[in-house]
Amino acid sequence: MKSDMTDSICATATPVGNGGISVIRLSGPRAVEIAEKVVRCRRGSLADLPSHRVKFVEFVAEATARGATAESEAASVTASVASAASVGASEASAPGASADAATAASDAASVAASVASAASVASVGASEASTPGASAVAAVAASDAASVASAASTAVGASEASVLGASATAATAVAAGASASGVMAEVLDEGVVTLFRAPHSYTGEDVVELSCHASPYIVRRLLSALTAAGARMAEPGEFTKRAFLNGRMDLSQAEAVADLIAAENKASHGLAWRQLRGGVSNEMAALRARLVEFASLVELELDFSEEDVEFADRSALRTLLDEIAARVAALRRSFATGLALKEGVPVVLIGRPNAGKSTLLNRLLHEEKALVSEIPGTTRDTIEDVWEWEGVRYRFIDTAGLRESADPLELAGMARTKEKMRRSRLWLYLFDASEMSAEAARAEASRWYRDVMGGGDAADGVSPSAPVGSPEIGSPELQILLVGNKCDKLAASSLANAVGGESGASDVTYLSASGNIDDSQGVAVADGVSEIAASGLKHTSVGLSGAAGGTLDLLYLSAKTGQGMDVLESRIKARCGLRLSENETILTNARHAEVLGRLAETLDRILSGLTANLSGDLLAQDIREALRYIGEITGEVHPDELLGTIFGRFCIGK
Amino acid sequence: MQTFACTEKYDVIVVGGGHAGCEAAAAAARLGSKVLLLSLQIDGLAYMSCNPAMGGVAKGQIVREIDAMGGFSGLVTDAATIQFRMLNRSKGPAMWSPRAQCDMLLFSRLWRQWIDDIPNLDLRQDMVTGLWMENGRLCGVVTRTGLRIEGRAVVLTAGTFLNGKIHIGECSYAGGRMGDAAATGLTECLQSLGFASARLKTGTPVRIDGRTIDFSVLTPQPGDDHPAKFSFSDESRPVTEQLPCYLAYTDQAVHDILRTGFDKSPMYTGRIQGTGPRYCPSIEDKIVRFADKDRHQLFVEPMGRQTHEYYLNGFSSSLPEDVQCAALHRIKGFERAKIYRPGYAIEYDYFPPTQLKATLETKAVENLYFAGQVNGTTGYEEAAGQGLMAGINAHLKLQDAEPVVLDRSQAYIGVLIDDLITKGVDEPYRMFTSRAEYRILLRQDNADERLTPLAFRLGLVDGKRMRNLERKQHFVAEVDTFLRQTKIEPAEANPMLEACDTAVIAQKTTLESLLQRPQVDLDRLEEATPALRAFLETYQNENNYRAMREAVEIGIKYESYIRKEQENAERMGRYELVRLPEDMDYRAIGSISYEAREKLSKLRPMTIGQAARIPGVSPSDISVLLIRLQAASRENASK
Repeated sequence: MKSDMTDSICATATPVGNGGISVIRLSGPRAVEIAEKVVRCRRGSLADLPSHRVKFVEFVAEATARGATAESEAASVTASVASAASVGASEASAPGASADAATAASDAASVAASVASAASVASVGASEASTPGASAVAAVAASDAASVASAASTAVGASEASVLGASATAATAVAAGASASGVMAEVLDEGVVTLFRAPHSYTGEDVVELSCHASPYIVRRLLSALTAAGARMAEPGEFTKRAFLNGRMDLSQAEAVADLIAAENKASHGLAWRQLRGGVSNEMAALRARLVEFASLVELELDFSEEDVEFADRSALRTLLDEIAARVAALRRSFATGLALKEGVPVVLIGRPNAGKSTLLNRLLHEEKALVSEIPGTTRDTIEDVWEWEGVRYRFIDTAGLRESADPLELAGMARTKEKMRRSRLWLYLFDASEMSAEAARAEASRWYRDVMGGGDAADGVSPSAPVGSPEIGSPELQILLVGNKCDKLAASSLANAVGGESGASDVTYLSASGNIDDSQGVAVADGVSEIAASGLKHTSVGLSGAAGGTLDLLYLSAKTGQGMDVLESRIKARCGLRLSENETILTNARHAEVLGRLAETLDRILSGLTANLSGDLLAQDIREALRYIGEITGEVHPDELLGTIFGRFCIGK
Repeated sequence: MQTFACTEKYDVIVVGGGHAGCEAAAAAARLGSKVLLLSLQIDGLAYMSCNPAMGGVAKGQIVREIDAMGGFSGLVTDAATIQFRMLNRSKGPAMWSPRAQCDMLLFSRLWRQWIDDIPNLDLRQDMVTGLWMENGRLCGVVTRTGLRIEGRAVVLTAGTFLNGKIHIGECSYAGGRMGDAAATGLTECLQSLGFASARLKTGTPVRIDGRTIDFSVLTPQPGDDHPAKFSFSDESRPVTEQLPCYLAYTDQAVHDILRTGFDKSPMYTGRIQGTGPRYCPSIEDKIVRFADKDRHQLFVEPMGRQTHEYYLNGFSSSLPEDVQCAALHRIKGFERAKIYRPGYAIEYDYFPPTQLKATLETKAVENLYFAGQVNGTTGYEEAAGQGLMAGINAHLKLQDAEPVVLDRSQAYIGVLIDDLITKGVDEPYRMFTSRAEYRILLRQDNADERLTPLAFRLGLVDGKRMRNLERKQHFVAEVDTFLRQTKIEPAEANPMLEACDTAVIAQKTTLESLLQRPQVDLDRLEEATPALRAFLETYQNENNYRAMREAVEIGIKYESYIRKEQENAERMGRYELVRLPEDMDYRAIGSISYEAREKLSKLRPMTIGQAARIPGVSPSDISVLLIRLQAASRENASK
């Protein structure tokens, strides 16, 4: 990513489309000077505006360019705008755009931002704009952004089309202006500008934000005017990169901005926000301070071994290390939670072919996502989609059925299924209740658990033992729910039988078609199918609580009719709902998680070095390594190799 | 004052005959420059003004490096050693630190002899009072008597002598060292040339007549059973007859007496302005800062074979003489002790070393070099290391040859000089192993591998030294291969392993993997393995046989740590190669912090690596610089 901080850069901070307000951000040493060329103030000038104040202005563009130059300039700006709007769109427009734009597009593509994330920039930009004087605009922009976001996420094709369509108009307009010959100032729009003077701005440089009406045409003309006046189009993440380079935020805060932009739900937004405020950095800085203290004790001992200095005893050092290692371990565990929040809690639907997994997926997502047929094995690959309940996203993953097969295609599908199972926090183990008893399903589920987790050779095939290093059933990392499907096919009596030889009905949760269940009282009314005893209804555990230490819930439903779906929902929420306490630091960044993994190994080595009475100079080497890893998170090491990858994740305009 | 010209002209004039000056003069002369060494006291060259010892933790490594580079400090130390100890034996090999108690009079006499023997090196007793400058160009020096001596380069190694001031209680007088006059005029001359100067302070303890010490109540501290030596050369031998040192302790009664002198202490009454070293505190400092300690350890060190004088290490003081004496008499074993010379503090001028380039040449005056205590360091070893490098670089510059700058992964001397010029000092700078980020690479045992090939190319060591190194490397490779390829039967190994208190083996195992165990050493392994014994026997007559065995052992035992550190050094080494343009306008870079702009403008680092070590320059400042450099190189490429 090229970056010269003497440039002034500009980009739209809101998605392009026909919305209410668009915000164009301009940052750099010449930001004010450049902005002055495209605004006309009723009175006073932009240069006299105090920082953090808003001014009502007219936006003007000078049509001085003529002929072919005008055309190509318009085209390249259009391409840039398109890439700002969304990666998908910019990719589409790249072939027809200039080489410059193609580079920008491929840059943007590598960033892998989504249409939706580009849309959410709007809300970030808007909330930033809420300086005292600009609250009205902010409100409009925010509400507007939301509507644009939903529009953009549902209709990629449409927004793309509108951008491309607009570009044709622009070319015509510029050409028309040029033909009129001479320098001609044209009033494009009216709106407000907000001024943030260095260093009290997002980037630490002079920043001007131009809020105009969100017509792609106006936005494009304004950007064109700004670039003509000496600004250049920003690259993805360049605003944040400048903020980092100017010391406005540290590396992990900068990364949090990317997460914030990409945040698609409330919980994940909260996480990114916390990190932006310095959550992980602070935590890491605290760890670092303690490690430095530890290191200095060891160094003291080395350099003053001949002198009569008293050294901290090793057990105190060990205690300190244990504490640090525990914090690191907790942070690493929180990564799974953070990941679940960011990407949705992974819930995998498994079971024999034709157990009705795809039907259930469609039912869960309220749409026809998966191809459903009566032919077992219709789903060859995993299909997944996200559904949000109460601010938490769940990522439901339909899988190829689990069965012994020789078909290479199906085997490949099963391998992927197993991989998904390993990464999921909840297994919905589906079985056809009209064909299989709960007991048999339970045995089968436990067999798959051992198979997938790659260990545990429990001879009885019933009570699985958790393979070393695998999550135990019932732990936050892995829950299993046995779901008896197709109970619409069953008569009330046979349902009871289906439960198996044990205490029968009392082990079964089954719901009325209307879904009336009162979890708190544990009473369900079975609508014409079966009346189930009150006691065990609410939360049924089948005897899978063996060596693995956890329990399996069992419930019955009909994916086809929708019977029992509400209980499934409440079970899922109860079992996997993520709760965050206000002060908890949750790791959301894969790079951080990886570094912490290496840090944990190093801490291990220090601890075993302490046990083995390893000499201080060797211990010290490991401690220095640990300090370096922490530095990689907080950015206290030479970060140039990190910068490209980190800031490449951003979209333009931030 | 009327000045007159000296008939002789020199390439390099060295001002000051201490440890830095002697190494500088010897190196430049041996490389071929015509050198003049000027000293206030040519009977006391490389005088041990403080404790009579060379080496110690981190310092011992420096002496080994000086020797590997062709300096004389190691050879002189070996010849003057009266007791040798390898400190930190119980720790890892990076910490092993040789230390030698020296006969200080012999040490000084030997240096004089060596200096006298070097062709094209003249020695002269005089006081330099100014630099001879013409049109801003350095032409030589001017002495107290008005003698103008022409020299193309000048190395200033004036130690504590520049406006030195000695303090004992309420008494203070000008002096460069007890018994010697201070040097005046030179600081003022340098200030007029634009150099900043400041004051530092150091101190030294009382010297005692050993015939009046009751050694029977002290704890003897003997030298090593198998003493090693400093020099890699075949020409020196380990010490044969060693003298013991002794341990003594202060107690509360001693402290109480010392406290009675605080109201007359130059430290506490504010008469001393200079900053003293925190890690080498005076006894009164220790009492104040570590008030909860009821005793402090003292080392009683002989100062030579031909003298009764003993040095009371740890009892450094500038309290009034009567208080020092009364306190001394309360120390067990010193009740009747007679004092040869009291302890004192000395204040002196130094020039903040951020005014220097990595070659130790000053930024302000071309061909002027500073080395030793004038740069704010403390210690003979630190001074000698700088002197050696200044002497080498003064010569090379006159030859228009590439300078020699040791980097931080190459030598403690590299760490020392880089720290000085990059970070400056705010108290007398002493080397610690913790200052080196690649400590495991900078060991005393491999200083020859690190530096002798370089010294050989320069012409500071002869072919014999190179052959020694090659023989050592050959031996290490041979033994290493043998240990990796030879397996030992459990029956043969297990009794030894049991004796070493480590797990026995069940099947044939390579000697290498046994040696990797912390509990097993090469001696034990050799005893248990006839084949290894036979193999090693063929090398037994090698001159440095024990040192060579040690090298093998260290290479195997610490292989993984050494490798990891090498990787780190290589990774960071990239930044040392990225050069910053000398004319870079840091003040124009708005995107780096104000503090970084100021520091960078002032220090003008040569590389990104150096810039990154400047306090106040943050990693993001470094990122900005890197990005700028990349942009500039792209621009150049497209031109």
